[in-house]
Amino acid sequence: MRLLVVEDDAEAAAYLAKGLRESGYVVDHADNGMDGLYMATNETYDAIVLDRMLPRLDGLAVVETLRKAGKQTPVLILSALGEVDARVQGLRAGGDDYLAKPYAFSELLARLEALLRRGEGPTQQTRMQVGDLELDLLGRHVTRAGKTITLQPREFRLLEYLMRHAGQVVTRTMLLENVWDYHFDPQTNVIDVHVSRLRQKIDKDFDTALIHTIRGAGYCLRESD
Amino acid sequence: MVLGLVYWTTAALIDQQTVTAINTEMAGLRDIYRRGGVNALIAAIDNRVSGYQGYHHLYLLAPQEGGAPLVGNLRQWPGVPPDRNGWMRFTVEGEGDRQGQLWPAQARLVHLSDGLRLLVGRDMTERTGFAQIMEQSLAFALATSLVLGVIGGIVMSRNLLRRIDAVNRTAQTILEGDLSGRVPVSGAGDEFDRLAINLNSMLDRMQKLISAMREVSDNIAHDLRSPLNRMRSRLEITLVGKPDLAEYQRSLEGALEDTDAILHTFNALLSIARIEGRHATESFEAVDLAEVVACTVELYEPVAEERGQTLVYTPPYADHPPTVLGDRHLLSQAAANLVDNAIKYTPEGGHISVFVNVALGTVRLVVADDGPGIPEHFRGAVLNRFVRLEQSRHTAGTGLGLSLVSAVAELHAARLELKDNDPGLRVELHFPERAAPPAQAEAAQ
Repeated sequence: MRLLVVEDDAEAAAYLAKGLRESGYVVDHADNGMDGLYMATNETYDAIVLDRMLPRLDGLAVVETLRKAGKQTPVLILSALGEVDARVQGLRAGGDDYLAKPYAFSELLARLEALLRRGEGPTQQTRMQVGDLELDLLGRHVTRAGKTITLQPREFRLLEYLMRHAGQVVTRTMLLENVWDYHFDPQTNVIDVHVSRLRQKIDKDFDTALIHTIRGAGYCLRESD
Repeated sequence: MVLGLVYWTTAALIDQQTVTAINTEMAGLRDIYRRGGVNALIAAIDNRVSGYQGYHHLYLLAPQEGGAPLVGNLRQWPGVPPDRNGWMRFTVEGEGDRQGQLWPAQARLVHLSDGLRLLVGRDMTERTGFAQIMEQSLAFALATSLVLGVIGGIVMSRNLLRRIDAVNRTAQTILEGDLSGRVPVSGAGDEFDRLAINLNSMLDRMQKLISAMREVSDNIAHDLRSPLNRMRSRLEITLVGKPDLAEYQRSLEGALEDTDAILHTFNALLSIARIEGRHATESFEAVDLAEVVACTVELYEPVAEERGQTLVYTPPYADHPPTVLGDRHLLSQAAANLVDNAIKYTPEGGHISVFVNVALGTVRLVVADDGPGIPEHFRGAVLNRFVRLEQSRHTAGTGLGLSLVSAVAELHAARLELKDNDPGLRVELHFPERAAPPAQAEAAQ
């Protein structure tokens, strides 16, 4: 997997590149918008991590130009502007996800994974399966090892999201944003409680756990450890 | 102006009267001449000259070509030529008690059939006198108004300058760093007062923003110093000791947690500052508050359950949706903070009730618990930013939950009230209701 990091802060870029390389990515770096745009248009990347405030060409302009040129490379926008409005602007310009600085590296990694996997597999799935857990989107029906599991509507959406990202780390913030449409951090770890409730229904009566807690990052739904 | 007009019309009137009087007299004399001939005319003129009329009227009857006057009170024929209608203006040398004076006269000349010419005129001293009086008063009035105008102008401009100076002085005060300076309002309700009021409200807003910024930096300094300090000593102690790998790992994980806590506080402070600096109505939309609150309660319900608390939400009557104009994300954040606080400060087994209702154009969001509540003397203080922060800082969490609610309330023109739930705390948010918006009709289509 090849990534392009467009970030003008040399130190931040170095840390980011180091972290991403250690996670198994090949990383190119541009320190301004013009070079970033040039590289993004002329090379093939699997995803682009783009700072919003860049010298020479603003991050939003980079995404817009890229999209106009027909390049559909997934873009994760990084920004010091954490306002919901700024986020909406970023997504409207053509960004695929938006992360406010300062961010946890695990958060960035999880979101990047989600972006990279998005292209895979049919998006119009009606059934999803992880191990012996099955989810029927049309019938709103969940079974594990053939046993029906009754879920509340929100629990169903939570499980659906986890299953869509099966095998990937999903952070609490990602769950809040995508399952609840909340764009702020509640003071109490409400997500943990929701996940543990879901766990009660999905994992409790079975030998192997499917929902795993990833320390310092979030959760992961997968067949085995 | 007015005086000029009076002068002009009055002069015209007098002139008109003069002409009429002369014409009438002339007609009378010609009538006498027609009936009684020259002798009768001479007798009539003679009679008039010697009588009262002779004083103001001028008469002269003379042969056509340069002959001596036959009768009249003019010594000689006036040296000015008559105009087409026989009118002439000239000066007469005074006689008798007006000896030595030159006075103006107006007269009309008529040629009679016997080669005689008759002049009938009037003394114009009165008119000239009037003109003089008028001219004098005009000049006087002009002078007076000029003087008054200059004095008034000076007074006015001094007043003007004084008031502009007041604005300048205020600006100077503020430039020197005293933000409490305000432009004095005279109370006259004029343009200057309006300017002063507008400037003052602008200054109020600016002062508020600046003090909010100052508060934020103070709070950041206060809130972040202790966790930063903690992190620093943790790292330092790890380095000083002879740690093994596991020790290093623990230390780093601890430092990471500290950093997260710092970032969380930092973000909370920043978002409060942003909300307070924001313009209302910017990206505002019609929001169904019941929907927002229901979602929040749903999010927190498992948390309450885990702590053995009951969290009950009572929605308003379905036929009257509690619509407010606002920012959906901020409203749900405020609702979340209120519910979060209630859960946090209510002991196990406690009851938390949340409801939304609409009455008399007000949408009310109430979060009530039966926890320890807030002592009454703190309730007012808790809404005051600085005190509130100081107070809640010693309890769990970032302690910024209510600050954010308060900022969101202010942005939405809502009233935040802390009441005694007896026992417990009852937080009420009173939003102005958004009357049946057209946006809803659009959404329905």
